Amino acid sequence: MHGLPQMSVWLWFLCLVPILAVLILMMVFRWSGGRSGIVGWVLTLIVAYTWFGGHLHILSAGTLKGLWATVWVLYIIWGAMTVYNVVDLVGGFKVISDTFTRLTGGNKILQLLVLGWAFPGFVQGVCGYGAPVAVAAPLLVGLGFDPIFAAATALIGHSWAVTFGSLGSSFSILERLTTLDPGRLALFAAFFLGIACILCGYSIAHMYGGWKCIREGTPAILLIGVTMGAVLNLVANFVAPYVASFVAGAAGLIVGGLVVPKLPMYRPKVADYTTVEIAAATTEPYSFNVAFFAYYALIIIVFTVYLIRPLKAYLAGLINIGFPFPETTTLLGFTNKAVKKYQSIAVFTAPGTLIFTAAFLSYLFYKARGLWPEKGGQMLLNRIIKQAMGATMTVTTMTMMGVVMMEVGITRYLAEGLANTGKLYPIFSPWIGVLGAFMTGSNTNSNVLFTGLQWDVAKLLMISPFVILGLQTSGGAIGNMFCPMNVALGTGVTGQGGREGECLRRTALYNAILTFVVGFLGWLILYVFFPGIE
Amino acid sequence: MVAAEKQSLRKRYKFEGMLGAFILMWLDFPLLYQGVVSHNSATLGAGFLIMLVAGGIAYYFS
Repeated sequence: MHGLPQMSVWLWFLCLVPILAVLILMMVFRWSGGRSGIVGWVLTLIVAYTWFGGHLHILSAGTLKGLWATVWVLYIIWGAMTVYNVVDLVGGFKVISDTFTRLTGGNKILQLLVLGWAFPGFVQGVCGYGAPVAVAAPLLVGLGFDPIFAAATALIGHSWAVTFGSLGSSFSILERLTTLDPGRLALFAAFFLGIACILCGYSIAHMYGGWKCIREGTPAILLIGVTMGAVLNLVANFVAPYVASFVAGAAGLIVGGLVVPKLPMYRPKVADYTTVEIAAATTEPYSFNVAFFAYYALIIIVFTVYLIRPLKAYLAGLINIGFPFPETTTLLGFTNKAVKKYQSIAVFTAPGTLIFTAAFLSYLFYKARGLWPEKGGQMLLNRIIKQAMGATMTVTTMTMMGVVMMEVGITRYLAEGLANTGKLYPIFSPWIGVLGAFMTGSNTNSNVLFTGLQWDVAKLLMISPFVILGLQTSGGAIGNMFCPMNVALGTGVTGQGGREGECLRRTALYNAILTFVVGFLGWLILYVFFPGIE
Repeated sequence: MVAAEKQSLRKRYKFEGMLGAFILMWLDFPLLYQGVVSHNSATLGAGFLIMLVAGGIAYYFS
């Protein structure tokens, strides 16, 4: 292993210490993400300095790169909080909540499945980078769900759509970094994610009300999940992988919004009528469309910029902010190449810009209709600053820890350790994807980090690289529900900064189950059902 | 008594403390960046020390 210490079990476990420390501090001791992140960062510095040849130069470069990488995420978090508070200040969530209560006959499971599963998948289809969580979680809070539960739901609900979301940015990396047939790559990735999609629906139902809720929700979950999973596979294989999540999410929204509420088991029972009637009888100050204007504006802006490719290309070329970094090498010889612009931000196409634009247009709209409260601007600013600080510290410290781990080769060392598991490798393969997403907060970056490694291991073990890379990107997608950056975004936009540990605890189990299931499926394909498959 | 005072200090200035740490990290960015680009050990050392101090403040108030 060039530039890395000799592989040994004790050192491998030692490399896990910063990650385990963060998880234990957050999930067991309920420390805030910011505080746990600082401990993780310092532990990473110690491991990097002592065992990985990390000297002051590379540790500083890693820390700085991490600090810069937070700008992108924080821009989204602050923007999403602004949109949420703009709608909240004009009382929009009351109207939205009443309308959804009526439409779904007061059925909370349906509300969850449509707004927490199909809707984030749909938004992820076009604009990922945390935007689905930022949009869906506050809507669920507005409907009366517990904020931490709402954040966890949106995190789980959008994960299946990540690989083929953002117009296929994560998938395109798999294509670019290999010389493999893109069609066959899409086949296995879509298969695993289709299964993950259905499991996401079940996870949300289980998280909400245990097995009872699973029994009640099964018809809806199967109808929406099979539709989204099938459409994802069909579009990824026969149309274009780049729009697969978007079309699948849209199909899920249509089925979930129009078909499922008409099923006999989801029509309101006599006892539920009170809630529905109360919602119907409430005199709403204005219509749903007015209340939802901010989100309409956001969807239209995002779709316009991301779907009209020449416009996106033009805007993306206008202003790009990023810093050049020199090549860095550890004392053991692990090298990071020099970059001209590290994680550059295309200002006019960045999701944060689009979200802030939607917030500004909504403010103008509500003001023109006389809904904006007196001193609303000051109230808005106070709320955002107070709500954003916890998430800001979490994202900052976690990203610094993650990037330092990557820069000195700790992440690579952990992945190469998992690669030594031989015939069991397919079961561990998606965990490497999860690890990448956990450290970087991104499926795309996870694929950038580990595509080469997974491909090499597949060649070494003489098993299908298509299946293994499908597992890699599926793990990277599923890991999005568990990575601290996304969790901080979820708690941040629901005003629960500092409670990231509680949110992580909720998503951890489902993340583990989904990752194990896709890994086991991959193992079955490679060693039981189709041994020798290419 | 001291513990109670500490607790209240942390709680009372929690937001300001975190904001201060965050600002300090970003104020340190140019210094540390200069050190990384120029490979200057003194600048790197000073910049990294400030980053650790900012981390300590963030740890205390988060």
